[in-house]
Amino acid sequence: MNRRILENLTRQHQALKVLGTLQQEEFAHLKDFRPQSVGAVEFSIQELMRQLMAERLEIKRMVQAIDPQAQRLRHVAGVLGEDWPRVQELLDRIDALEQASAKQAEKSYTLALALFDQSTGYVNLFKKSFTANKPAYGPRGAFQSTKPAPAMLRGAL
Amino acid sequence: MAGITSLLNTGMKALNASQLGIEVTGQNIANVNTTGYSRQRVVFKDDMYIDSSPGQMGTGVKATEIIRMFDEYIEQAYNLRSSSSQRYNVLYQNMQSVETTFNESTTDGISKTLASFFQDWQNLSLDPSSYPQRQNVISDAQNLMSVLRQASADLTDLQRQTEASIVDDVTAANNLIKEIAAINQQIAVHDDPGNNNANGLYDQRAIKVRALAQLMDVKTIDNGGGNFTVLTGAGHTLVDGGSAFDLRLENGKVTRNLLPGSNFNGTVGFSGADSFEYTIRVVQGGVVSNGNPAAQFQVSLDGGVTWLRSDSGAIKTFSARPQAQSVGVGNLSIYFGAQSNSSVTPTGTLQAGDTFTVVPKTALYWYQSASTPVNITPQTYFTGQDNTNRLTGGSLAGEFELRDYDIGRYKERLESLANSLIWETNRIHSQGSGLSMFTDATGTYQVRNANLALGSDASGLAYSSKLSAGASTLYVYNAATGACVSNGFLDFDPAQPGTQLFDPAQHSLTDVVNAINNTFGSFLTASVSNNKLQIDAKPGYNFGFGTDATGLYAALGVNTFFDGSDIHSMTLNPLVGSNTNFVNAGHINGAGESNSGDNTTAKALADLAKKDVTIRTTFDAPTSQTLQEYFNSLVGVVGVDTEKAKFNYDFENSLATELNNRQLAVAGVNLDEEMSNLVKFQHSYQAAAKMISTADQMWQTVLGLKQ
Repeated sequence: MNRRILENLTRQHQALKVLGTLQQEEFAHLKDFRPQSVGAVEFSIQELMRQLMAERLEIKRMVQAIDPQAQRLRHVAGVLGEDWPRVQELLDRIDALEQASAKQAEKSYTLALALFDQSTGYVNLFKKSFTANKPAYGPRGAFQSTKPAPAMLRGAL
Repeated sequence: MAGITSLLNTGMKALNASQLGIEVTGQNIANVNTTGYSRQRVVFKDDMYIDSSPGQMGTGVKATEIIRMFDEYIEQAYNLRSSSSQRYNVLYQNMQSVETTFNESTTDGISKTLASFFQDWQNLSLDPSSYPQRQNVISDAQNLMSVLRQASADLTDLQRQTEASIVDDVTAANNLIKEIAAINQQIAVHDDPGNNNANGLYDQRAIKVRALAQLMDVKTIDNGGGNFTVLTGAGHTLVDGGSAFDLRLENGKVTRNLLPGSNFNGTVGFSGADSFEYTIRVVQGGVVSNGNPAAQFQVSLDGGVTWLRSDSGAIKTFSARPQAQSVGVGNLSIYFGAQSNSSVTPTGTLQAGDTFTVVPKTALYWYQSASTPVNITPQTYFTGQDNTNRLTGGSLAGEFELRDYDIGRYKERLESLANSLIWETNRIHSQGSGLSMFTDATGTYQVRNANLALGSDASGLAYSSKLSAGASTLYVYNAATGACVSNGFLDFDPAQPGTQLFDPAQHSLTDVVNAINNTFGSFLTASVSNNKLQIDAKPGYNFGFGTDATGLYAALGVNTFFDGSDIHSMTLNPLVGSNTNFVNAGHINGAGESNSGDNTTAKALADLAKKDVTIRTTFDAPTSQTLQEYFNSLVGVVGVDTEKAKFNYDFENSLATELNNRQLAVAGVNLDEEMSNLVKFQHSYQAAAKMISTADQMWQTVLGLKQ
């Protein structure tokens, strides 16, 4: 069991390293305005996250197989015996990598959102500036000012 | 009227229009690589119509104007982003150099030498009488001081380099401001919208505004033609049509802002330098005076957002003193003097609410003619927010932020580390004893006036705030036999029964001298020498220092290890430096004995490595951690600031690049498009020529009728 837990944690550790690299690649694509490349990397990230989740569930099952009451690895530290320091070290590394990944994800999210906001602002300006004001009959029979959205077709049904 | 003549006329107009189209296309193609060039195009319009039968007949084409393709909205947005991007670019590039100062992976830096210093005391505690161990303490302490000095000097060098960049940028900004105003004047002459568009001048102006936006955050208001205004982000006018305003760098300015009706005729004077601005706010009215009552003031280092606090957490209040009793505030000595002569005590009364701003550094001012200069130096509050009434963008904001806020804070934290190291070491060392007793002892710390209370802000004593009330012990020995002949606490008033102990709020250096003379006058003579404490043993006696609950010995610099109070002045106490016997490893025990095998003081100093001490800066709340932890947290702060600058640069640069791409999509020259236009106009030209030759043939036919 100890060996399987260590193998699982090692896989998680390596996966998080790859995740960090992928996130940095995604951020670089975002900086260079390559949405298609961002999309491709995002798919890989999602797949990696799915695999990480599977590893997490697996290790939780192993922990509960050792002690059904245990929720975390540290609850079974005594059973892991002399392997516990190695497990502890891997957990610390995994934690540090997770935090770095979370920070990187936040950076990508902030930049993507800002680029989106900037483009939306520009499109809204166009809508405001270039869509004609047309007087039309309102529901009470009086003229009211309308500003139709740009459309391919126009007319009334 | 239709006819062959009008056909010729129409053909000629078409020929001219097509030729103009080709010329403008040629101009676009020629400038495909010109930075800042905006694509131009000709606006064609059908010429006037003449009523006739069977109906209106056109008279050809008219090229009405040549316009430039340019998006003002995008340009404004781009300039804002570009300013921010440039600010963080400068910050990030320079923060990498700052990080190098604190990078200890390849050299023995502060962290390692600090650890060695404490390890030496540990080693000495194992063999307290060892000469080599004493020598190790001395040499590693010197090494530590040298490393601290080097780090501080490196940071100061970076500040100087940044200051040189600031000078260059301000010169460049002033030139650009003048050039934009000059272009506005030219546009006012040449531009006739709809007829004669000064496209080239508009492009030149946009390039200059972009360059200015790289230096500072700017906003523009375009009312057409030369009526174009450039303002800083905070609203200070830089260019107004053809008029240009001035920016100047000035050093050490004090501005006063008195309440209406105030009769105070003085201002604030100061000595020293700092990276921060000092806002002085009078909180209790009164006069400037040597004694009580004097007006009371508080001080802020970030424009009034946070106020200086004492260790207890309360906002600190200082008394308004004349120059002779200037009070130590942060890194400055502050006093009030007459406007004409700062050494003269001013007249009039300060009112609660009067404020003064002291800028003890080179700062940037905006000059509006016939008006007071306005301080627009970028300022970051200690909460991390920008002062939006100042510059907030461009390389100038990055440079000032680096010089004042970032390096300023790192230097002050480094100073606090040194200051605490000196005090904590001296505090322990001054209560210990070495291998020799003193025949004389001279204090290393000087007071400004021997009659001022040692704990007051005006005392001039480096560690006056560390003093507390309590007892200080002295031991006197027979030099020949080594027998203790007298010992006890210093008595500050022998007229009263019992021992009157030291009180920093009340007792001056003169009182300390009198207390020593009163208590141990048969064996010692104390005096004030050069505003320092001097103690001399009478012939046949020597003396040593014991437990001191007040910090008096450490604050006056007797029996101390270090001298000085900051990195620049930090050195070994001259006595310790010249004679390792005065390195205190032991202490004088309850029986009045000092044993060479005693390791009490060395052990206490070794334990200082693990002991939490209170460290504070003028902008941080006091923290309680070990000296090593404090330094590690400083290194951490530098790392976080660098990472933050990098992300902000990536972020702002991406947004600016995206906006620039959009502008290029509008204003940039696309060779494919220009080539197709060229072909189009060429064919128009050929067709127009064909029209003329057709008209010519028609004339020929008409002229040939008579033959």
